[in-house]
Amino acid sequence: MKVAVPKGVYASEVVMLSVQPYLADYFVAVSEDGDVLRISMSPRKSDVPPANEGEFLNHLQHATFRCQRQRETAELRRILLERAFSHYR
Amino acid sequence: MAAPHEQEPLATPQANEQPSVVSFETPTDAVKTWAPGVLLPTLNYFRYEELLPEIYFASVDSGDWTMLSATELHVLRTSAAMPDALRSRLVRAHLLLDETNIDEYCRRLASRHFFLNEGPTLHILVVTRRCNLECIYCQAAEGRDRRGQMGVETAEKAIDRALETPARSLIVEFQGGEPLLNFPAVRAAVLRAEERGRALGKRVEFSLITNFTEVVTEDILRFLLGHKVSVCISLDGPREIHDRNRNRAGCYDTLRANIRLYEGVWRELRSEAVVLRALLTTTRHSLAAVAEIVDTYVDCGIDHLAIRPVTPVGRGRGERCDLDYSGAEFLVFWHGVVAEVLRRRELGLDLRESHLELFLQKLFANETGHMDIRSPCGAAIGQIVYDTDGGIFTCDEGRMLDDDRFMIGNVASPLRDALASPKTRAILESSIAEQYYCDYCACKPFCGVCPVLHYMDDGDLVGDPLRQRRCSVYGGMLRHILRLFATDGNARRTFAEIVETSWDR
Repeated sequence: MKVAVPKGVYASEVVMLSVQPYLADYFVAVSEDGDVLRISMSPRKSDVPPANEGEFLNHLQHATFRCQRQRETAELRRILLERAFSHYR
Repeated sequence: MAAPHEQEPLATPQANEQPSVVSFETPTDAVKTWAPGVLLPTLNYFRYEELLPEIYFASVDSGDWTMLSATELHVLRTSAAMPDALRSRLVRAHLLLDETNIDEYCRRLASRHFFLNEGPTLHILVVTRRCNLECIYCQAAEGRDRRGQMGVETAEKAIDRALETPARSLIVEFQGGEPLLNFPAVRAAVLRAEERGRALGKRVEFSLITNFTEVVTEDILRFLLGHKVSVCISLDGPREIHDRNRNRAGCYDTLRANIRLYEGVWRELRSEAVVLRALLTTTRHSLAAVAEIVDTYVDCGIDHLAIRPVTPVGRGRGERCDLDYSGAEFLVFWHGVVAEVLRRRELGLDLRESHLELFLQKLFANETGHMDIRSPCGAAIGQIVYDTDGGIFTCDEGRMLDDDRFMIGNVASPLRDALASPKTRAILESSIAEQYYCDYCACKPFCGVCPVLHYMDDGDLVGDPLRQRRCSVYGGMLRHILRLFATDGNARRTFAEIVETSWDR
């Protein structure tokens, strides 16, 4: 599978997050080419089917939201943990 | 119904406040400041994944969770209009935090991590490395000090160290090799723990893992049952599988004879119903024998199955074809066992399976449970292993390696030295799931990573959990339970029954 995605739409952290679940079964390469990020995947073993492009594009959508939520809630999570464990001080 | 959400500007925090966390209010909400930079209501950090077509499992750090339809997920992703029913569900599951639930969320977060402040409760004494068997999957076969035997003095020192833990209640577990090959050390440790535990006002329980072969005698059973040592045997299923895994004929028959002896001694010494625990290690021979395995357990009077895959440590790391199966193959087997458990429970048999029970408790009873399926893992803060020569290790897996990488001290020094060492801290930090891909995984609040397996795979404490079988196995178990919960009314009723019973216990 070879996919090129616009850098302006998908940040590299989103792409890196999206390829994580594939690393166990595929050799993965990510490279920068002008305004796009190119992602290629090939199976590590012969009995593994080729990666599905549509599935990967959906991964990108979910990863975009996850990264956004993680960024937006980083401070909230810190404060909640601080409150939760305040009685241990 | 709440009015549609419109993109109105958020209330601006005071200049000296932290940067604003995005609020998730509807126009009917009065925006409240809960803490500097936190405006309520707000959408909590949640993880989600598609469990069934168009049905998403979504969870938060406190272990609360809910199922979302694709439409509902879309609402959260786009800040679209939120129906009241969805809003109530999100508040109950703490995905949406408002002034009615945010303090409770903090309490649940703290109670879910109670173990951080408890001190190690499980103390494993490896009283001998020797064994009378050569099981094909033996985890302890290739560790350090392979012929080592713990002296009585070391066993007593280990107990003294164990009782230094701040925990008020602890479990001392005897392992090997085959621990009954060094019964003097077991006896000395039990007597010492009883005496010192009483003096310190601590509750000590005992457990012993044995292959239940010719090493068992009536005198030994009298001692163990008389001192309330919980006995856990290795039982891999019917005779053919059990003996094949042990590379020796006759083990199964000896085990059955010992079970009869055990039951006789139990009835003589104790008034409550006989309890015998057992562990099943899955090999390729087990995969197609679900019903036979469950039959064997029932026939042995054991109503609690503990099914586990081979741990890739020691001989279990080898490339024998008997041990070569994927996480997916193991899961098919485990699903079969769960189906048998559910079927037989409907027939009135109180049968259980330990991982099913564990994950049900994690999902429905806010239990953290199990040392190596939590974050951070139980290494040093939950369990301690005392090896034959007095070396102190972080955990069971850590002591099974060929080197001392996970050795954090010795019984000659106070336990505090071992627990406070930089090495212990580094190992613990490497097991915090938030630093891995796990922080995006909906299973994270119910799962955990293992630094020992990382070290074995990658030569580093920090590794890639996604490449390990345990990720697919534990995640697969959780997803299977959730799918049954979502689609099967009978399973749902049985789950409630199991959690209720477990909760009562």
